Amino acid sequence: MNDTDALSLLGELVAKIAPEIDMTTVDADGVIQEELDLDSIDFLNLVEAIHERTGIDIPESDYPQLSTLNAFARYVAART
Amino acid sequence: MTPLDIRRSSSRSGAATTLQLPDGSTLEVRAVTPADTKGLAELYGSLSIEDLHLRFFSVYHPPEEVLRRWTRLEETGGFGLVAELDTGGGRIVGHASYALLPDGDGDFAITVAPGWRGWLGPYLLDALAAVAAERGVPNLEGDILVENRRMLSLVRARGYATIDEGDWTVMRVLIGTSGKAPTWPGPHEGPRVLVEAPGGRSRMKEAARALGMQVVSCSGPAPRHHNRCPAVTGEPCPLASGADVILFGLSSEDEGACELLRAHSRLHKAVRLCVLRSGAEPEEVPLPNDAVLVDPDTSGDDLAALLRDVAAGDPAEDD
Repeated sequence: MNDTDALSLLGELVAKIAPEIDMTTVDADGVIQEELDLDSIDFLNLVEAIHERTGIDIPESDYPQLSTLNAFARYVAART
Repeated sequence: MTPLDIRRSSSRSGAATTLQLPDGSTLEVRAVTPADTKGLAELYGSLSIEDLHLRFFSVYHPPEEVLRRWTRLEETGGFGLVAELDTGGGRIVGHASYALLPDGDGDFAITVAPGWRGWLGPYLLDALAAVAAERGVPNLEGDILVENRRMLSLVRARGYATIDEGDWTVMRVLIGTSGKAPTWPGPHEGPRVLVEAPGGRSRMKEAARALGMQVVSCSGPAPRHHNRCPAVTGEPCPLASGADVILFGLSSEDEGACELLRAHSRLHKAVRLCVLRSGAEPEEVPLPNDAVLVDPDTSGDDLAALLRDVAAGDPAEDD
């Protein structure tokens, strides 16, 4: 999976977790909780959904690396 | 690609971590000091009425002397962390701490500034648990309003058990600081009963406590968080292996219930099982020979008395 695929997957999963978000207006380099208005519940659901789809188990200590969509995508792409 | 730059350094009060975030900001996670009193006041002052209610169960504005005390928890065996945006006099956007309890666990609380709720809360809880584990504190305990979904999602993701539900508006939860599951809190002279039921609910808890038993509840393998249940991943669960008796009240329709029941037979052979007949069907999962089947309509008092007898090793009839 490359960065683009991972970003697409994240967009798909975010759309399920928070369907009210218009992904076409989101800045993928902006901070996730501001761009997507995701709180900790949504964030943890997203991490778990990524685990279910890719098998990646993301430890809490790596969460800072997921603080923007692009960074999150790079993290996923590097591990798939 | 913006690499995450994490620098760890030792300080008198524990490890400090500097996070260079992908958006270019810098966050330092470090031990709280008395110099943070003003920053904490700004953090708590930024909370909405709803936030204050969820955090303190009332619209409470912690006064300076309380904030100052929170910066000195280490003097009484506790610990506190702050997440400070842009090091050197920057804004505190997160605060996590525990006070040492008489039972050896830590009484924890976490506060994250509006706008930073997402990854930071789980990260701080994990960092706090790591420090507690290093210091020999086995569990973190905390009271959570049942309407506080954010906090419940944090402890659910780590794997939690419930110590007390009070009037069902507040749950006292227990999370382990190392490993996947918590351990039994503190020494206790009476029998230990682990209740495994949806939501950890059972009508016998008050009666069991009145009979001197220590009761901890677990909802079983949480949907989407199976990997946090040690038993279903093949490892002994410290709560199950430390119990005198397990009351199994999960239904075969509950996610992971059958796997958990099989795991008890394999991993926790020395612990007696009482299985509510509405639980996972014995036909699907072979039960140990000494398992006791219980009618789900049994009253709380009768069930508590049965559990006491089973924990004491008395033979119990299959009713």
